[in-house]
Amino acid sequence: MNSDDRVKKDDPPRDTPYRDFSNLFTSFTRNNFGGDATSAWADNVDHGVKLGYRVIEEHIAQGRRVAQDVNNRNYGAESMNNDIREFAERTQQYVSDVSGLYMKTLQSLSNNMSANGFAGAVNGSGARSTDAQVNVVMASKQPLEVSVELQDSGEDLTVDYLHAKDPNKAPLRDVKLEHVEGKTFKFHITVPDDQPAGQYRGVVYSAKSDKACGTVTATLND
Amino acid sequence: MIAAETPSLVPEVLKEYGGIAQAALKDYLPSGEPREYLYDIVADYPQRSGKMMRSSLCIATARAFGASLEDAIGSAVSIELLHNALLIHDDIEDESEERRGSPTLHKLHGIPLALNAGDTLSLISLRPLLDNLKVLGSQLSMSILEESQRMAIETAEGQAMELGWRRDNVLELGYEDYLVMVLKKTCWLATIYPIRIGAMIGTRDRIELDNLIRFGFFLGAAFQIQDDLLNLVGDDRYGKELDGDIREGKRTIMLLHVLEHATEDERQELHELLATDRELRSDEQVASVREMMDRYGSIDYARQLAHGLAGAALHEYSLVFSHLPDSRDKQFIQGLVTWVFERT
Repeated sequence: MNSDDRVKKDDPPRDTPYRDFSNLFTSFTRNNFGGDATSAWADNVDHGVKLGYRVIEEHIAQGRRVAQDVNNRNYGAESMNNDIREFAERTQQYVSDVSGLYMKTLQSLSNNMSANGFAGAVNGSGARSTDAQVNVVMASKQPLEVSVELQDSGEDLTVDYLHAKDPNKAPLRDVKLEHVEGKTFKFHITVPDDQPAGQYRGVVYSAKSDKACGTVTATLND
Repeated sequence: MIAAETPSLVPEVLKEYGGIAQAALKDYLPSGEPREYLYDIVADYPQRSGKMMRSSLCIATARAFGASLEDAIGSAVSIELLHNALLIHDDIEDESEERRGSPTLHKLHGIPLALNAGDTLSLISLRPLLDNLKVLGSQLSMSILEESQRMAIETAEGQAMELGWRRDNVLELGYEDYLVMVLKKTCWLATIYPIRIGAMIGTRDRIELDNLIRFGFFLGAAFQIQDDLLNLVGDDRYGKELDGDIREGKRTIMLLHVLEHATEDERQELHELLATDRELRSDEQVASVREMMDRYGSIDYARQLAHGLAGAALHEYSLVFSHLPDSRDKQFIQGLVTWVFERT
């Protein structure tokens, strides 16, 4: 093979680093600055980047120092998150309790309504207590909301009548607070068909000590 | 060397995500009384067509990390509401006359009512963050609130630095001082915060945030320098008065460059101009400063600096996002780096 026939690579198009930063971003730059490589461009870009890193690294270090101080004061994310978590857990428990109560009430109501042949609507019910759980069983043709609030619990809790503010309105007599077990109670209420609408209240008390332990409020709507 | 081009999807995504955030934002604007003196004023800036870059960046980052649009929309709306609130205050502090092509709010309604509307809007911006509780749970929502508080403090510090420099006519400033001010005043709200909370939402708060600060800073700083440049060379679509920054005495890279290269007489001239009340600064004085910027190559210098920062942003982008699966949102975030130089 003749040495003149040897295949040779073309000379490389450049033999120095390509430093034309003016071509890096968009045609805007090329059109406006001609695109000639200059060391000034490179130096300015280099300067800007180094300066930028210096600024941001100092900022990050400063942020870490502040975060460390805050954590040392026990005012950081952890403690605040715990508060929020506790609050959320309580809320969740409360919602869960009320939902369960609501479903049980609907179930009891459904049983009662079919047993008593009632076709009327009960609009809703609710019960609140400190520790005790109170399920409400009600029968009414008119929309009825019931709220039971217990400040104390015991096996001997009882409620007599629920009275309206207006003395001319007959009290709701068919009410009963039944102790199921532990701190679980069942409140029964049956509303006569001709009962006038209004708010009726009664006191829950201990049969042994006669001490007031809570209230029952029933709101009867037209 | 291959020139970086802005993919066409950047304006598309800005329009799409921006439109979604804009629609969701309207639900948070009260419509009751007093309308004339408060709620109509509150609704003004959010209804002027902004670029919606901040909210879009938040949504895109969250989605790039695997979250849904619904997870991020509340935080994105909050960002836009707070951004608009701060614009009202900025315009008063800077005595600006135009915003997004129309008179500023205090020019239309007077400073007291505009100030009050800005306060109201900033308080309204908390609502979507509280609504996050229902979507993101308590722990992540709390982390986002903490991040919001830090962003608000950083932004206020940056604004204070700039206002203080102007009040005391401080001229002995270096480029590093400028970048620190921009990091706080602009970058935290415009880029760092949207990126960080987007990533927090996408990873359920399981991400190292430092690299996100770096990426957000370089992107935001390039954005701010380009914004300063547009104030000198923008076209009719710019939406603010040209050379307004010179008239306001804003410390920009271009002004610092002029101060660095000016003769003693010119420095004295600049010092006297900047010591004068804004309304007493004449068109001739402003034109003289602008001419110095051209003569000393200050505008070119600022562009070069901005390009360097954008290059660093692309590098930091690759560190943060390269391990994620390729997606339209990733392309959008990367595309923003070059879009910064093409916007008007």
